[in-house]
Parts: sequence; C-alpha cells; structure tokens
Amino acid sequence: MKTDCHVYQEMIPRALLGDLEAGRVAELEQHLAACPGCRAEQTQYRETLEHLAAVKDVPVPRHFLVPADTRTSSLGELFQALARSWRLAGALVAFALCVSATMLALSNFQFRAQNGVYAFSFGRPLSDLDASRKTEAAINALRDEMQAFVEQAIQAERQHYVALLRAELEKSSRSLSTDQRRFLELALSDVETRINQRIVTTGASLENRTARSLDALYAALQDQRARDLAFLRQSIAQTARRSEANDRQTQEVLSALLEVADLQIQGIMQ
Amino acid sequence: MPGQESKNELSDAAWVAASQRGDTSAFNRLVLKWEKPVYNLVLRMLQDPEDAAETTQEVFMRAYRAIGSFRNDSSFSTWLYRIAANHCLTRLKKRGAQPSCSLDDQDVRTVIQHRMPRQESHEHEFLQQDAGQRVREALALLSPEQRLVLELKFFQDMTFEEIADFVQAPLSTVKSRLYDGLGVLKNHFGRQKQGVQTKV
Repeated sequence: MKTDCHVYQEMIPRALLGDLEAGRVAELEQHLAACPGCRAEQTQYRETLEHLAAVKDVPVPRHFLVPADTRTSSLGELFQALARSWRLAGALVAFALCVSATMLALSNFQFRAQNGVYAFSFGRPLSDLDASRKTEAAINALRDEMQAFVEQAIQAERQHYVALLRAELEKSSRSLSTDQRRFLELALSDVETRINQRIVTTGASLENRTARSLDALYAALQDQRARDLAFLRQSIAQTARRSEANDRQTQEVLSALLEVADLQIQGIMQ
Repeated sequence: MPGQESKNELSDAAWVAASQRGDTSAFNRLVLKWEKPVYNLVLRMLQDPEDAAETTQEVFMRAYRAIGSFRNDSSFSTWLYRIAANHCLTRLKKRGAQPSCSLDDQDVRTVIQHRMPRQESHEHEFLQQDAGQRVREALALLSPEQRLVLELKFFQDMTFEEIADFVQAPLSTVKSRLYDGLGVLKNHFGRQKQGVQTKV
C-alpha cells in the first residue's frame, strides 16, 4: 500500500511540468510545507529538470549533405517506407506464394503446352499427347478411307455389272425380235434405275454400319455378281437356244430375271 | 516560438517543393538548416558520436529518397524527426535490449559503473563533464522508448498530445514513460551528487 508521501512524491514531477490539476497542486503544496522528505524529493526533481534545460546542442562533426544521384531507392528501403499494414500484407502474400510453390513442387505438378493444347496434372503423369492424337487421326482417316472405298467399290461394281449385262444382252439380242430387244432395253434401264436408287438409299444407311467387314462385303458383291452373270448368261442362252421363242414365256423370264435381280440386290444391300 | 515556427515552415515549404521536383541543392539547404538538431537528437538517443554521425547521414539520405511522399500533413521538421527517431529505435534494437531502470532499482549505481568509462575520481569526473555529457550518460540508463519521450518533451518542446501522436501510443503510456524516465534520472543525479558530496 502506498504511503501518503509516496503518493505525493509521484505528484511532484507532474506539478513541476504543469500536468496536475489545480486542486491537487494546492494539496501537494500543503503537504510539502509539512514534509522535509518530500521537499528534498522536489528539490531533486527541480535539479534534474535544470540539468535537462542546461543541455546545449553540440556542433555537427561534419555536414550531412546528400549527393545528387541519391534519388534511386533500394527495394529494402521501399519496403521500410511502407506502412506496417502494407508490409504485413506483402509478407503474407509472399508467404502464401512460397507455400503454394512448395505444395506444387511436392505434389509432382506437371504442366504441358503443346500444339495449342494445355494440360496439367497433380501426381499422375500426363499421357502422351501425340500418340492419342495420332490414334484418333488414324481412326478417322481409316473410316473415311473405308467409306470412300465402299462407295467407289459399289459404283465400280454397278457400272461393271450394268456393262456386262448390256454386253451379254447385246450378244444375245441378235436373235431376238425388235420388240423383245426394246423390252430388254427398257427392263435393263429399269434395273439400272432401281439399282441406282437402291444404292443411293442404302449408301446413307451404310455410313451407320461401320462395323461390317469390308472384305466380306466385297467378296459378297463379287460372288453375287458372278452368280448373277452366270444366271443371266444361262437364261439368255436358254432363251436364245429356243428357236420358237414364246413372247409370254420370254416376258415371264424377263420379269423373273428382274425380280431375282431386284431381290439379290436387296440381299446384297442388307 | 509560434511565429518563428510558421516562418520556418514557409521557407521549408519552398525548399521541400523544389526537392520534390528533384532539386538536390534545395534539399541540401534543408540539410544545412536541420542537421544540427537532428544530429543532437540522434546523439542523445545513441550516445556514441560516430554512431550518431553515421545514423544522421542515413536519416537525411532516407528523407531525400522519401521526399516525394511528404504530404504537408505535419511540419517538415516533425517528419524529419520521425525518420530520425525510427532509425534510432531500430539501431538500438539491433544493439540489444537496453535495461530500463525503474524508480525502485537499487542496482542503478552498478549499471552506471558498468557503462561509464573509468574515472580517477567521481568529483573530477562530475566537475569536468559538461551538462550535455552528464545528461547523455544518464539517458543511457533509460529504455529507448523512455529516452525518446524525454527527448521529444525536453529537447523538442512537444506537448504530451504531440508526443503521443508522434510515437503512436496512448497519452497515458507516454506520461508513464516520461515520469518513470524522469524518476530514473532524478535518482541518478541524486546519487552522483551524493558521491561528490561524500568525497568532498
């Protein structure tokens, strides 16, 4: 517990510096008048203040002029000039960047920019970009090639098929009458038209059937063409051998031929 | 004196403006005007003349580089003293913690004897030292914060409120540092005087 003197001695320097309320000053002076110890304390404080007031500035040992090219400041000084909050913010940002960089390094981060494709991975190695792109391109090229080949094959076979038919019929038609020849021509034209229509219709659905084996398809086409030609050849030979061709019989045969050819084409295309 | 201060500020403002435009000679005019009070402030804070000279040069170099950021929200001298005070506090912290003596510290004499250079007699020492040297040696007993508050109060004539704004501390903290520091000085001078009187 502070004694009265201790309390009053704390008031002494405040009173000397004018930092004490008037009422308290009067109370202090009243105590000082009766207390030699506190008066001695006051004297010591007064002498201390006199010592401080007696201090005079010493001359400078030299001048502290700045040279003309001093304006550029270092990064360190710039940092020191910033307010505390900015320095703290800068330190936090730097710390966060260091932590992020360390985590990226530890997580085996991989980044790749190749041919306009950007890829990144954490831990897992990046797949070979070229290999997958090559495979995809190869598949697309093969698909296009297959499609073109099928269309070309169909077109070529059709043309060849029709040419053979024409040739066969031309050979056989020498023994036929004009009407029969004309009927055969119309029938052939009709067959050709139906074949073309069927090819166009089927060509659209063929694009959706990419799984079918091209070899089997081509072999089937070849085989069917051979059989058709053999059948036609045989039929025309039979017709030609009959010296007395019956118009109705001829027409029936021709109609049958047309139906067969039609059905077989349907079978090929399915 | 208030009139003298505003006259100072007017002339400083012109040189500051020129310095901000890159005129080094204008800034050196300011250096020549303020180098003595700044050097003495630094000397009383650091006690060592060589250290004080080096620090004072750093203060003016720093002030020149930062002159562009001076915004006239305080006087140029206050701004300059703030740079000087911060430099001194940084330097003192790098030296190591200074023991702050309280009013009840009974080993103040031991601390003084440890720090003061050896003297043949206390009487000779006391009479030969000038007041400034005696005060500087006494200030060495204070913490950097106490030292700065006493410097601003007794040598820069700042009010308590101005000091609180300068050091960015509450008014009560500023007063506490001042009166505690003053008490340490009072005890120190009292013991020195007792030692002289005893020898005599």
